[in-house]
Amino acid sequence: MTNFWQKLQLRSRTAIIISLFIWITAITIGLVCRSSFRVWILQKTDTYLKEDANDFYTLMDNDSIPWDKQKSDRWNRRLAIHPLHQMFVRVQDSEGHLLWESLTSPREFPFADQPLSTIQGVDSYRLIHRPVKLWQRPDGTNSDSQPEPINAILQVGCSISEAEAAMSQVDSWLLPAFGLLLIGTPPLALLLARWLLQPLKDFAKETEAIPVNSDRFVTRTQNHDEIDRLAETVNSFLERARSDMHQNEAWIADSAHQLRSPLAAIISNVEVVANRIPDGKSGQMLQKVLDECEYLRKLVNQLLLLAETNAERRQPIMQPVRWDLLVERSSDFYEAFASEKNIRIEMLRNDSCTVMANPEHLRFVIHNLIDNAIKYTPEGGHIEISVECNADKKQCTLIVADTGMGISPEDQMRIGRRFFRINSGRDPALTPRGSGLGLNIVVNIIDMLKGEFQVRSDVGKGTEIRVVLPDVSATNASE
Amino acid sequence: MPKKVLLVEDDPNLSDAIREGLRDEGIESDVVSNVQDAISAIRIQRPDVVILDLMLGTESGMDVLKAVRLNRDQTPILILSALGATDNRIQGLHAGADDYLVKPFEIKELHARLVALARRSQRLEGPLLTFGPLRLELTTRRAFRDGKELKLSPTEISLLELFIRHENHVLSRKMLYHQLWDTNWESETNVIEVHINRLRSKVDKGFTQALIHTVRGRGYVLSETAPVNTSTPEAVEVSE
Repeated sequence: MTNFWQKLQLRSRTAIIISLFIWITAITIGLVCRSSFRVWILQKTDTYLKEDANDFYTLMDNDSIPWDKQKSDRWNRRLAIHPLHQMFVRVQDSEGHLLWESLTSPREFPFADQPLSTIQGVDSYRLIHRPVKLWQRPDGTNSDSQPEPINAILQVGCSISEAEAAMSQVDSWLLPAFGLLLIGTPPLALLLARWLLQPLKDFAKETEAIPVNSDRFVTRTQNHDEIDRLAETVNSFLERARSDMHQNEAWIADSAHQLRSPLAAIISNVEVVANRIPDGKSGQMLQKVLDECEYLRKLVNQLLLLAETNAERRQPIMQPVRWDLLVERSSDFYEAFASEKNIRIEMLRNDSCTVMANPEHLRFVIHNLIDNAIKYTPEGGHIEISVECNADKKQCTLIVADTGMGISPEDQMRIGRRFFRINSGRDPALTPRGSGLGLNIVVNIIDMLKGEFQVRSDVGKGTEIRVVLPDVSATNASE
Repeated sequence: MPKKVLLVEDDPNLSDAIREGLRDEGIESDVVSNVQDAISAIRIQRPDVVILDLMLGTESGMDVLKAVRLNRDQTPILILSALGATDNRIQGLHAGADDYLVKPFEIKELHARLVALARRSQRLEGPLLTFGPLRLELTTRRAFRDGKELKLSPTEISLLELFIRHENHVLSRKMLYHQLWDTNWESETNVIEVHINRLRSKVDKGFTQALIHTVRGRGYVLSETAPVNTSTPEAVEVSE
């Protein structure tokens, strides 16, 4: 359960808590209101009942006319038109004989033992009892004899079925309302949670958009709320990371420079000696030394280019470059090489576009992509290159698609990491030795130019690499 | 071909190698290792070309460059530096250097650049380059051998131009790539080799005299006579 709870997104958790809160609150309020309403209705009924019972008592107690048909009819009429629902009256003498009951009386209710003025509830009826004097002729029939009062108990009652009908009316509104609440709360709570967490989401989005290799920071609201404090933490973290990274880059650049001078001395010396020694075992061995030096030289150069592309983020050297022309020239340049491997390079589309960049860096990007495509495509395959320009978005996209071996999803994640090379499925003896820095530099350069680098690949089918860069053709028509 | 070269370099291990390497190519060079010596040597010895290291211990080779250009001295200067970033190179060239070579380098590339620099300062080139039976029109970018046009691709024309400009000098693949793309960073695969083979088949096929030769272990040369250790095109085995 805890596990499940932790797996939920913060938004969902907040929504669930809000929903539960709303449900419990609404149900409690609903029940309290319903009970109050019921109590209120009953009290009202009881008040009327009490007042009317008093009236009846007075009437009956003081009316010395004996009970006869006429009087009985009068009482019945009075009760029939009474506003309280099903108002009835019953009278019983002290021995428990029923003396009179109105026509409205629904059934027999037991009389209370002691005449009380408190109100009793029996089923859906309210009853009140009072001692009363009922005037009757002693024999009950002779109209000449004087009527005498008999001690009796008066029972006045009414039905509360109307009140209950009102309650069930209220219930018939409450139930759908609760239903709606039950269904409607979660989406509302989700929206509310979203709204509540929006600043956090915005914050994450903003932070995500900030490359570590830039001098940008998260904007602070300065209102010292939680988000602002988070921004402060992230900024201080960025600062530390950057200072570490700059030290790291400076270290790479320094060590590469330090390597270059002795490497220059080694290469030059070996080269002079190798040229003087005629062919033979020693000459071959020196040639091997030179080959290794050459590999070292490339590695050092690439490390420096890597450091340079990182350093240039702060002060990039930019000039307008006709990208389409550069791509076309590069594609032509590689065509002969590819055809040796029986690979066809096809230029599908080449829209004219201009980008701001260091031309040497762009050249590196394009050559590296084509180079890789050829390297990882088996004989007989083909490579499609296109430059697509989107005037609306002011973007141009270079697409290099091959029918090569493809890159597995895990490897796609690692593309662009330093010293990462895709080796699976390749014979190491047949592949030229590379530094593993090429794509890292490419990604760096594209990041620096505020572009996008996308890889789409299916193992065994091929790889498509897209480089999206901002097009400045409109502002910079010159090459 | 430059006769006198002044090498301004404070690392004796490197300067010895350069001096020996250039001597093998028939160029004598003097070595100085600090700014003051360099400035006076340029004024007194009048070298044909100066090779200038930028980091001379605590001093900067840029001071030599600025002092020389301030004297209105147009001696060709080639900067040799471990600093290879684009802005370093632009800085050097803006300060008045004629060429910029990044360490480490190949002596043959240094040599080829020195030759080109010395020639550039001697004469202005016309729109036509020739070598033996070869003719290259720079304006129309068309190439001819014995008056017959060779159907060359733009890359091949550029390569041929480089060969004619450095006639009889061995050019390495790395150097060809650098010159072709004006860059310090080369690609990993040897694309150049294919272009050279195609160029060679177009230039030499059907003719008895081969002009483009492979020099094993070193690169390629445009020459009317085959170099001593040339191998046949079929047995090309140039290691990287």
